[in-house]
Amino acid sequence: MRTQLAKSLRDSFSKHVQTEFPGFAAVEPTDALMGGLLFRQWFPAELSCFIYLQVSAKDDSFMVELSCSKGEFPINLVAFGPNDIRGGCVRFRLPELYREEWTQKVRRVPWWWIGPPTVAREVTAKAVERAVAGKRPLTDEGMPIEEALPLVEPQVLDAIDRIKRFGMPFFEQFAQSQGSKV
Amino acid sequence: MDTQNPTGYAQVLVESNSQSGASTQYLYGLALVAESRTTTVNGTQQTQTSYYVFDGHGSVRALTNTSGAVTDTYDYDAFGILIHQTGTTPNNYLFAGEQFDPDLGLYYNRARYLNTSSGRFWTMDTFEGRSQDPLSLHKYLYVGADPINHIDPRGKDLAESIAAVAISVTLFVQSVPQLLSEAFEEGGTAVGVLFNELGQVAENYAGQTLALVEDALPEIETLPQQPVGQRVIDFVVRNTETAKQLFIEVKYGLPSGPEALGRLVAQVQAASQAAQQNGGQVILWTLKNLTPQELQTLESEIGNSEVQVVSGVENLYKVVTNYFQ
Repeated sequence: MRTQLAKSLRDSFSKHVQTEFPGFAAVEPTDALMGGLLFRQWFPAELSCFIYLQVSAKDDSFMVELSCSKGEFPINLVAFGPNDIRGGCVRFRLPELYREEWTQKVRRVPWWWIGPPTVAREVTAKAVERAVAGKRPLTDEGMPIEEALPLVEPQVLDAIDRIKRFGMPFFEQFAQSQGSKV
Repeated sequence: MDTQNPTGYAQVLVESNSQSGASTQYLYGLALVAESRTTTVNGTQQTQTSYYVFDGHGSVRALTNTSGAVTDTYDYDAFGILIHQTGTTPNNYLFAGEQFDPDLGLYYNRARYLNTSSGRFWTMDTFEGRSQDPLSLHKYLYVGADPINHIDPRGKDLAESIAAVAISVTLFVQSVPQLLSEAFEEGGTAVGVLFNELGQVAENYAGQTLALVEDALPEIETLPQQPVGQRVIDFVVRNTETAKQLFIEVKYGLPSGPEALGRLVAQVQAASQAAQQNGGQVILWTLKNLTPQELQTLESEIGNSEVQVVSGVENLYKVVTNYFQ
């Protein structure tokens, strides 16, 4: 994601997490977060719930992961799905919780896009066209930054709303299943 | 006929008979939802609506009326022959959800008609096939003779799509030496920028190829940009039913400098570690074909027999498909 957009995204996401989910506190950023943000909430019985904002390094998109663990954020676990519990840990991409909304439309878990999403087939077609014409395969022309910036907030609000509607009930249910109370 | 609808394929919206005045309207959501038949009986118009019930394969297995009561049922053999039917509601959408032409006794699969009695298309495939892939050489075969696991709403062999991507890759790779030489001439950051772009294009080709794998194997799902440990794995491909998975690192080609090669080795080792922790195998995929010497260099640098080095979109498709089949 372009630097300015990423900054705006992190600021907005952070602000809304603090407002909407005050039990979650930001974890000190480390290299392992790769430019993203991690928020943690402790339950009794040492269960921690995490919200991880993943900022794409490749395009203007982001993903939200949720996780529960009896220790730190399970950084080495692949985000399988909400039902794939490994060693008491679970990690998955938020849209897994509302699969029925998108599974008929797209095969892959949808990301939040700032501006129109890129399609691999279209990117490669354009790249070939440019390369054959002796031009660099990709262009820097994305949506102008001043047009893209106002699109950050609505996407963040959508993600926050979905965390509220799908993520929080999941955390509660998971905590209960692990013998913790919210 | 509507060519712009959420099903992704051209679909019939209305059929009408100018003599009798009868018409049938089809309602589409992400798939065919319902048909409404309007007829005129003794001067009075009557409309009857039926809803489609599909199985996991996409074949119509029943029709229901507006109250939800089942009015018709259908059973097929593996290749789509209708072996049992109940009910009398007029309906031509049957095996794999495609339109059956009762006059021809064939299914309309757009590019070609399908004869379910023989399990073959009526006309030849326009794709010439690949010598290394015997099934692709067969001109009439339907879904590689595997109709339980695949469908073919386009009437075109999947291999044709992969071949199209491969042709595009060839054109692209052929243009790169000229671009590189210009970038070197330009100096500064131009070379780095170009290599970065080549990597991104390679990733898009990988994404496009993996989408074809997903088309062929519905139980396969791809997670692009999956952070694991200190690295983002380019693609994690998994079988949603068995959790069997592949970790795929994508590169345009083999980097020439020792520094870049070192980075690549570190990336592959990180992927390898992630694969060990989560269960799975690692593929290092390059868009550009590697020379035997490059391959040897890479394998000696990686020093891990569990990492498979694969080049080219056709090989990526084949290796991933074979791994999950």
